[in-house]
Amino acid sequence: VTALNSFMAQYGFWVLTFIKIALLLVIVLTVNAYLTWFERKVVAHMQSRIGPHRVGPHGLLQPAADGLKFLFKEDAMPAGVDKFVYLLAPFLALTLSLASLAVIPFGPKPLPFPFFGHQIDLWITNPDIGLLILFAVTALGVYGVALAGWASNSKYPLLGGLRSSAQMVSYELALTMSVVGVVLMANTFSLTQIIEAQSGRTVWGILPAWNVISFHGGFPQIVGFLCFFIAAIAETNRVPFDLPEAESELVAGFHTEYSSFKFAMFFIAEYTSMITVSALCTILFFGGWTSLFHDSWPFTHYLPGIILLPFGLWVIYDGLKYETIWGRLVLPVIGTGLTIIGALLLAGAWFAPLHEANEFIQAPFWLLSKIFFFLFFYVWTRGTLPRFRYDQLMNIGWKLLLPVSIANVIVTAGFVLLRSKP
Amino acid sequence: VSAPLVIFFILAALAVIGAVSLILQKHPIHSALSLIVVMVALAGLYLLMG
Repeated sequence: VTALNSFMAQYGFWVLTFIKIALLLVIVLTVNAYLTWFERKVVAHMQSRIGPHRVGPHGLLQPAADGLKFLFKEDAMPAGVDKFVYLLAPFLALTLSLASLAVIPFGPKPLPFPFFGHQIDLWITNPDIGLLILFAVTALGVYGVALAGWASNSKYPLLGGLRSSAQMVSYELALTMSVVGVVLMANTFSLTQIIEAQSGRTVWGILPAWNVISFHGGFPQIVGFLCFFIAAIAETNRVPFDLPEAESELVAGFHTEYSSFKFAMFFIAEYTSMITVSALCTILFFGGWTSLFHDSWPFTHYLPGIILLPFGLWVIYDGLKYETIWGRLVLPVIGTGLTIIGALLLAGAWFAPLHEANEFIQAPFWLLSKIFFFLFFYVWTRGTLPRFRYDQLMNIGWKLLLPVSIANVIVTAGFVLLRSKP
Repeated sequence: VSAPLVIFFILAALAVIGAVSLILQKHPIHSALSLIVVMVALAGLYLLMG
């Protein structure tokens, strides 16, 4: 035990970091899997369909079935491909999108118990130039798509790869320009400090001082946010900007020749970058983990319990009248679990340890709810908008988003200059 | 041996290997990829400087 203690005292930080990376990887991959389920369900209901409902109750095991299918499919490699680059491309896409998650902070306070004397923060790393690193890593993501298109040795993937390179280079400019306003207002590149700069109140304390509405130290970044979100949808190759994989023109674009798990890697990369972009929207423009309500309203701290408890009860009710026996067994069990967690969080009003737990989850709760909202927004856009034409895509990128975001930078810089005068 | 030193040697080796492969590759795309490796390794080295 003493040997372990001395080992941990010296290398504990590395062990802790590896544990955190493994944990985040497992969580993000699970969330990715259920994001596909969520997307199919929501889009289905928007189109008056039911969506996946055969595998497990409400189709909840559909992601597992999909994953197994990807693993067991034939791993076909077309003739004449550049083998090394062909295998490198999905690997690059996946690695870079997962790596960008490393700098995202999930909460301000470390866990209340230390790990062999090391503080457990809710982020893997928190560099002073977090935002720069994030943009650097996500910008490299274009290599995955472009190389996949080139290495496949086929017409459609090559065109998809070319389109995607052009699109990503065009929108990268507007994307980075639109966050300059936020950086000017917060005066830092560190993601945690950008959130802390938004922790006050604005409009006589009614609204939170989130960058999207706040006059604190600058100008409301509503225009910057719109530019950022549109450019970000284009960067992640999602509808309505999914021209690199426009199936009516290019079969499936850059991943036409990829099968089995190599295709799944592109898929996971796309969904992971959706999560990263949603987290970035939340952190830069919507105050990260800061609450929507004023601190002097302690009852708003029970919001997680207030949401979870009725939701759990509804899952029990819904499960009891489900069609299959399997569903009637499993759904009430899940519902009971959620109800118990919700009740425990509400019981924090009377019991000190539960109260502390409830206080601790406030910041992650707000951050994750906002991320979830933006993920829903992604799906919503997919269910609503048709794909742009290629010339429209380029017009929006170069003639609309770029000038508007530059104007936003100039206006914000002017306001920051006015405010900073002694 | 401190951690930054280990990371420095890994990145330095990566940069040198990338640079040699940039010259030796027959295919221009492979050369371009080697150049990217060199640049990424250099970015990591700059990051290490703090």
